[in-house]
Amino acid sequence: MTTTFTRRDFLKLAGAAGAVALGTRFVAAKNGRAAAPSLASRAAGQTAGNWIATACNMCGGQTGVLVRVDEGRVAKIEPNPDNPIGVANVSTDFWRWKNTDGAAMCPKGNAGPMALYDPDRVKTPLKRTNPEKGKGVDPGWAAISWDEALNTIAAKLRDLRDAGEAHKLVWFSEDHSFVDIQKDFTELYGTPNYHNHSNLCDVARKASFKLVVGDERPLGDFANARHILLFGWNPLSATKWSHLPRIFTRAIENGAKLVVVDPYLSQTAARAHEWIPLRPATDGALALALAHLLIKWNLYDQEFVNNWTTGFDDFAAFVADKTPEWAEQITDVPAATIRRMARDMANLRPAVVDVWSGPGQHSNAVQGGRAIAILNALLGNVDRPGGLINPERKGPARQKPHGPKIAQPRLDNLNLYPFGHGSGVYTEVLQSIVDGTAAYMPKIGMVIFQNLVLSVPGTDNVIEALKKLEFLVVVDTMLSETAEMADIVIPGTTYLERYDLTTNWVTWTSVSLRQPAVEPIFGQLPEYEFVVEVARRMGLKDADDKDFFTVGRISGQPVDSTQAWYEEYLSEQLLKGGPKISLDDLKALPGAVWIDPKGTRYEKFKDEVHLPDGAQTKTGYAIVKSADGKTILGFKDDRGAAHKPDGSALDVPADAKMDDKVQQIILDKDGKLWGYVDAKGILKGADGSEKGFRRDGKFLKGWSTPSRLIEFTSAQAAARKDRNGNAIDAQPVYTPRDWFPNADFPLYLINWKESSHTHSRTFNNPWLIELMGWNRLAINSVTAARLGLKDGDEIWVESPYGKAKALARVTQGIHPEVVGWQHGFGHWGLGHIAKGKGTADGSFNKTISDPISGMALHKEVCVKVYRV
Amino acid sequence: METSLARASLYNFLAAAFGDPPTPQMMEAWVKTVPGLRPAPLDEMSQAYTRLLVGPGADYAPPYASLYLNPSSNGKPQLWGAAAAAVEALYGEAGVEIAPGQPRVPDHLALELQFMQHLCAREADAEVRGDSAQAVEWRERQRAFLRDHLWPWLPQFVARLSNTQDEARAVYRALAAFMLAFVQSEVADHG
Repeated sequence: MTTTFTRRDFLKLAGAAGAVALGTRFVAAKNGRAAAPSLASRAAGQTAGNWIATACNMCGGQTGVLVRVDEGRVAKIEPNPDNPIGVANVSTDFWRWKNTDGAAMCPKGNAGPMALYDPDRVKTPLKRTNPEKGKGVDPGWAAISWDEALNTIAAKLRDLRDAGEAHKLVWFSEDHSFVDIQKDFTELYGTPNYHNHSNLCDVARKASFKLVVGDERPLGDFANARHILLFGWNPLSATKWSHLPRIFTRAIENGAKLVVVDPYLSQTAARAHEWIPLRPATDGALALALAHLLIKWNLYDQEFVNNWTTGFDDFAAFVADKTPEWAEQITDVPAATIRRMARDMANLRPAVVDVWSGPGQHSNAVQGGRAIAILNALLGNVDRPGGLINPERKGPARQKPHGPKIAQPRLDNLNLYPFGHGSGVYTEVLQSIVDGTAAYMPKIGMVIFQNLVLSVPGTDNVIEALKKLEFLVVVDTMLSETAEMADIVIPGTTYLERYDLTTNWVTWTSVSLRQPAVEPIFGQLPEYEFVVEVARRMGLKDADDKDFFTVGRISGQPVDSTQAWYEEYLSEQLLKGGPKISLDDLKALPGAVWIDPKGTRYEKFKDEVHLPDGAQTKTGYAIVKSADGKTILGFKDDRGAAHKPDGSALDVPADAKMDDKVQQIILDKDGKLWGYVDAKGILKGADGSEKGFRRDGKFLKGWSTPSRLIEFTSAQAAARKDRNGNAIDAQPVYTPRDWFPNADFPLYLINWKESSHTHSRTFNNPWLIELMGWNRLAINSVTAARLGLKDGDEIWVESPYGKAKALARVTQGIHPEVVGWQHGFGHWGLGHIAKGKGTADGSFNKTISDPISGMALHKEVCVKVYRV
Repeated sequence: METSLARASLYNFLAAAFGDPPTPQMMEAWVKTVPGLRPAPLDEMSQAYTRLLVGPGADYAPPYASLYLNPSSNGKPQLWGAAAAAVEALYGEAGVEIAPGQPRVPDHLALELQFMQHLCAREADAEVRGDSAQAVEWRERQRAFLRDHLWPWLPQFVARLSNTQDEARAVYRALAAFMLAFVQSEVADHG
């Protein structure tokens, strides 16, 4: 159509165009800024720029940042020296270095504005018009209003709940961002099926360390160590806290030796004094041989082992035959090298040993991780300077809402994973949907800030599982491969447009605020307000039929604005948690971060546990427990009279259990039950929680393990069966992983992360793609020569589960039996920059997890590689 | 006054066409207003709108001025380039700001068109009150905004949008051609 109109035509046509109203796009300017009287006033309209203190979320590291906002636009991001995350993880270093060195941030942090202003972002709610779903199938998106999107979602959720099927809502979320409000929603809604990201990351490490030193995430005081041994961790580059490179650099400047065990020459290994390549998933065997030598040569810390650990003798007997020669056969690390490693770590004290997700994503990860954690105990270096520190954390306190009782089991069978994590088991829920073996078929899926299709092992399975849901909502900033499976997509926010509180990642308590540097640029609701708004439209209340999402959590008064409501919600968590300040107070603190002035404390295991003033210690009493032994109903005195914990008379149920082996009962000055000392000398509270142990007439805090000591031998592990019903060894045994190279698939395939990208989500960021634009497959030069491959060759990579093209990178920096690449590439969605770059690693995998912790197995795969 | 009101009306019409998903009412107005425009089924129109004006995808013609005027503020195309800050300042000087909860990227085509509607309406208002000095001032703002902000990227945007084939998209091609011709006549009229 060629259009030729005259000016008169246009003015005539205007009559048909409709009424003249200002429309909803603009409102009269607030702050009394009426129309400027003339154009000459324009220069005065320039607004001065502003620095806003907040916390990064380009990855889960949450580094403190300062955001420069000029005229409503984020212009630049700089590190925030008032926030420990980005400066140091130990308080004395932080207070010194924030002034001498300032803070650090990584390439991803610098590239934040490119994520905020990405033209490919999801800008408005989208509705699927093509009912067919699948990889590469065009969803036929149609933009819809917020009202239509919210009402549709609320109606679907209300209908499911009204039909008595609340448990058929399955929910997946990120693990650092707006987690609490999603837990609240799912608990009040009545589904047990809330999951978050951690079980794709490091829950095997969490289980290992929890079993040995009683803390899920101890952090290394690397800067003060003289010998650092890392297994499968790349802290100088991989996704995480940006103070890590500085800490390691400072340690090396101070004369520390850094040794990195990894099949791949990571950026950290490349800067280490020694790189020890080994076969994947054999790290635990290497650690056992090191333990063998430390004990055999009498180089372990006997004072520490005698006083603060348990099960050493059994462990020593167990490793008696775990010789360097034994380990060499398994790991491919020469016995002489192992001997040298053991001597070095014993001679250069303090020495610290750590491990992350390299060996942590194989089927034998938990026991291997235990063997590694135990090395720290042998070196006498847990919760001591230059060692592995159990952090003290008193952050914001989530207030658990009162939801309905949920009768149905979780779909992921988390209770069958003996040392599983609250984040659940993604692989089991998704695989059971595909197989039809799920306890019941879920109907509605909610995925917030997760790209399951590219991040869960077994891409095709994940797609099949999502296809089987009747209604799928995905909230994301980008049209990810998971969003492509959705029925409705809701535009998410970047971290520069929203709130969060973050408290992890240093060794003492610091609580930093993430706050909006700019308003959500598409006028979208931040994820937490989306959840609140859906709950409101459903009329969701708590189990007492009380309003939750409409009433201020502090004021108890109705709050209309979802933003104001959420601000009060965060304030409540701060006021009732460690900081005891309001959200406004936190905003006003330097760097928008609250820092516990107590700082890092070492040797917290020596803390004395004091009984309350006027406490009465009784012997000859018993503790009355419920039939399942889990709840303490009260106590029985030495005359046989039973009392509730508050001292009033207790009518003992017929099936109650009587624990008369307790050594002591402790009553407070008013005669109420304060706690007791069990038969093994463990001090417990009135609710049965462990508080410490008796030593030399005092109670000491010890470690958060059942024995209150570091556990070489794990009775609690031996008491449980794994997901497959197999016994768990009390010793940190090396068990060959399930999948080894064979004639058909002769090479191990591993993957890793680097500072250029986070998980699978930063690949449409032009600056980061410029930094790393393709994940070529690293192949050892000897292996490449044998296979007739040259650097840059186009190759096929094939496993029993997937086959895809890749480009070869021939290098000496990888073990000859192993090939590997950076995770997160190979998008067919996300955006025009990400699309078609590199190869997705998940498609070669089986959708399985480690049977002890539920950790997804991203690296337990073997492949063949050949020229296209 | 009739002229400024008529122009305001056309800008309002165009702002909705390029800023909101299509509705039956909007399509009715399009048929009446744009000669030769043949409507397509609503669901096809909704998808065409999303594909062309919301994105992402190969057919996406991003309706943001700075992607055309400052294509590489940071070395790569991104939203909210210099042009966006400039027009937002002008909105404030003219007494309006982006409504809460509305898309906030200031140089979206719909906002620039809506802003022209505002300026035309203020001109009409001054004329009604017989304040010719103010009317001239509002007209001067229109001239400057057209010349410095709306017109400089519009032909490129329309060219990008027009590189499409099917029927639903033909409606947007027709709307875009209509808009281009109208704004061009505006530029000519303002001299």
